[in-house]
Amino acid sequence: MAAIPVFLRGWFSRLLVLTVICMGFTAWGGTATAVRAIDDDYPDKRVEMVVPYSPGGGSDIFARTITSMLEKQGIVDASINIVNREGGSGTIGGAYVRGKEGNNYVLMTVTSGILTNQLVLGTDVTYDDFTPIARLALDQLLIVVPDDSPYKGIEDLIEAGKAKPDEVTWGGTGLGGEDSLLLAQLEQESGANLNYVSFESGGEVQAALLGGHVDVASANPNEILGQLEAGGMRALAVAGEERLEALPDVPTLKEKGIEAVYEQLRGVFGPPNMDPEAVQFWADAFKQLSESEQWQEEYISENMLRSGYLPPEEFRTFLDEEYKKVESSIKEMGLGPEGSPATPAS
Amino acid sequence: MIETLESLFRGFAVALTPTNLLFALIGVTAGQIIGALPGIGTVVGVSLLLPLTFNMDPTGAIIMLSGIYYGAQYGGTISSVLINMPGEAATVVTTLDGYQMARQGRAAKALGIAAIGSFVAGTFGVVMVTLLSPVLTTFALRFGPPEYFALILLGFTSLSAFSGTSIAKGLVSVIIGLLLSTVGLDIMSGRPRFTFGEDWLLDGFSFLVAAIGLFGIGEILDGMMNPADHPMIRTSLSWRNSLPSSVEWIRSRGAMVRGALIGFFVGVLPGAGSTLASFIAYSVERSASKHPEEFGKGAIEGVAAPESANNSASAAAMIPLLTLGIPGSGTTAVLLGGFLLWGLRPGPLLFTEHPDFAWGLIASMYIGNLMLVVLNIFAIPLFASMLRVPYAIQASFVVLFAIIGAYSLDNNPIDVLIMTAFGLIGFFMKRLDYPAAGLVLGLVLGPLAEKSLRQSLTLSRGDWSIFFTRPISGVLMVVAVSALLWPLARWAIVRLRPD
Repeated sequence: MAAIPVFLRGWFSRLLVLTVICMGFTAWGGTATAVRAIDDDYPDKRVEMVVPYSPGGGSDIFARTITSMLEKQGIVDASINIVNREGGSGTIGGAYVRGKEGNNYVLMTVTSGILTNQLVLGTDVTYDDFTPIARLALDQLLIVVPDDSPYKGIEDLIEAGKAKPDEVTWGGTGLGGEDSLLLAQLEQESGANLNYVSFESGGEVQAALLGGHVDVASANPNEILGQLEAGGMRALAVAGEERLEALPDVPTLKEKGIEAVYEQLRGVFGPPNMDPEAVQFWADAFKQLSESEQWQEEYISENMLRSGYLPPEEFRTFLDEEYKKVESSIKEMGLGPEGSPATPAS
Repeated sequence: MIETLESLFRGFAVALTPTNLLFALIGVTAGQIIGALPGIGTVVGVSLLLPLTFNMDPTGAIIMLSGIYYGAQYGGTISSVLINMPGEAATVVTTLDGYQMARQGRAAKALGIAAIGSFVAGTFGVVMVTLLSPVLTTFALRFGPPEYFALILLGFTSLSAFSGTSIAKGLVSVIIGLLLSTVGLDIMSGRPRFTFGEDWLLDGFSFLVAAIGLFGIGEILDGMMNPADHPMIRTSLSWRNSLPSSVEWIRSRGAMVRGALIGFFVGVLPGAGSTLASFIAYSVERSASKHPEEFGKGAIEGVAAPESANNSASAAAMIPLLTLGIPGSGTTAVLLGGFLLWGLRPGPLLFTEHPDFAWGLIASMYIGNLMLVVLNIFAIPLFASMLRVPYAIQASFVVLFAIIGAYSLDNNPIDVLIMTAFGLIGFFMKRLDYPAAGLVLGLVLGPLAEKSLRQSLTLSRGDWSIFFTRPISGVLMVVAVSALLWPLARWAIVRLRPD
């Protein structure tokens, strides 16, 4: 160890070289694309569609389906390049697109996650940083139990949740995410009290439910339908505005007198200050897409979603309303980035 | 049984068509390369190629993508052994003895035993997948949060296998790793922890970035200090030399069997994975060995056991994916996304609704493993010849690969800086004789342990007895606690003995 001072002299220069190499790499990142005015042949060059989540996820499938349909149906001529920029629950991709201010050649897929990120994580990437283009679909949540569960209907669950508060366990992904927001609404509306156990992914939740480690869980229809068909699980209710086409016997919570609706949105955003003409171009293109038969059959029915096109202005209003709703649920749950009480479930 | 074999033959009929054979070959070759390059892990590799399969036939697509997955388990060994830089999470532990073997001029041997072990264990895994999938699914589902916690605790016992001379230094390393693992999103509440408002810290420290720095860069820095310790290594390039001698074969045989079994049973659990399997296999092997003192100094079993474990684990991970539609790791989650992308519905009905897809994949794994062992054995002299390059040149390339590897993990330049910082930490740890593997162990198992601990206690509403009243968890806990306490007790006895 006595050798350290001697070696440091030669060593520092080596470290410097290494650091400089690294800095060089860092500098590579920010090559900006030139911004062009809108004219008749827009989009006249490759468009970048940013997916702030990993390949194979819901947003990725959404992006690949819409771009391939836009091309196949001849709605848009330009080629659209999908880029996955995942990380930080969608904030990494969001920050990237926010930095593309006024660029008419960048689009981004968006989910309700952008609202909860802002509220739970306290990230500075917020939904009003962006230019809303279109809302396209809504993904609902199903409340499921294992096939041998004593709960035959949602009423049984509510009753158990009232009789033995905090004893019935409900599995879902991360606190502050869609599953916990649904449970918060359900508890508020019904007076039941359940014990929320959070898992890292939908797959883990399913395994815990099938293994009998949790009593009930919530999941998106397309990830759970295989289990329902095979008979390992039963659906008690759907948390949407209307029943699902594929599961006509499963009631909505509303029908059962519980005013709890949680639908995750899927839509498209543009960077801040995108040209109004470009916004209109894409809004029209997505409207045409959402009215096509292929859209209904190959995306909506296939993934068991609800089609719900909204043009830019109405999309913005929808986001404002949704934000208020989520904000009150999150406050109710005692979550939030700072100054809030400790997480109740842990 | 007859039905299973019939289905398997049908699967071979699918997998042996020229197109699917080609897809398998492309997959395993790509996996081999992706695995060998530090940083570009399987998740990244499969994610990169997934979009290309959007319009492909699903069977060909899954054959190719899963080829990347298990092929990378073979490839990951190469950089671990040659340059002390793990190419894959599951090959971190291979660096301990693999790199020492390379330093002794036995790189070809290390790579050879890894390839053979991988083949034996990989094939064993596929046979088990073929015959026992339904039974094993039931077994896997019995693991809830308390069972995972007990299993992970067992993983921590491998600490004593790395610690060498000082158990205290080993503990310090693990604790640093555990502390670093708390940075990022709190998995239970979804809130950021110790991120200081920085978005780039939301995902925490990637353990591959840390491992590349700690091992790869740390080793290079140390080498720069003592160039005399790094003479040109005389490595035989004859491929016959990559086959084990009869003594080595006898020593590795048991390691392969134990590695394959441990890897399989840990791998079949969604939520455990091949990295945990490789750590446990290494620690079990050291306890079972007649030469525990040789571990960390180039013991061939120290390569054979984890390499066998990670391969059978990656085969086993296909079970929850195929029988339940539940992914057990980052990579299988991406594969599951592929199912949806190709319009297949994952779930228990996959085998009956799409038998060609499921059985074609299983059959292709037999073929793929065969392709990989041939590819590896014959390519070993080529890889080992890298060591004939003078150290100064070699070192520059290692640094270059480390930078590219860290960057390519998430295309994030900050990872390069984090990797460099870990390189410095690795250097000082090596100088001061703290085991870097302990830090990595803490970083890998920390989040898993925390998650399952908190889930268990949420389930039991704060009652700790949940870990002991459930049968599987109870047994694992007793084993883990006694294994954890034994070295401490022994240390205390030695220290406190009055003489």
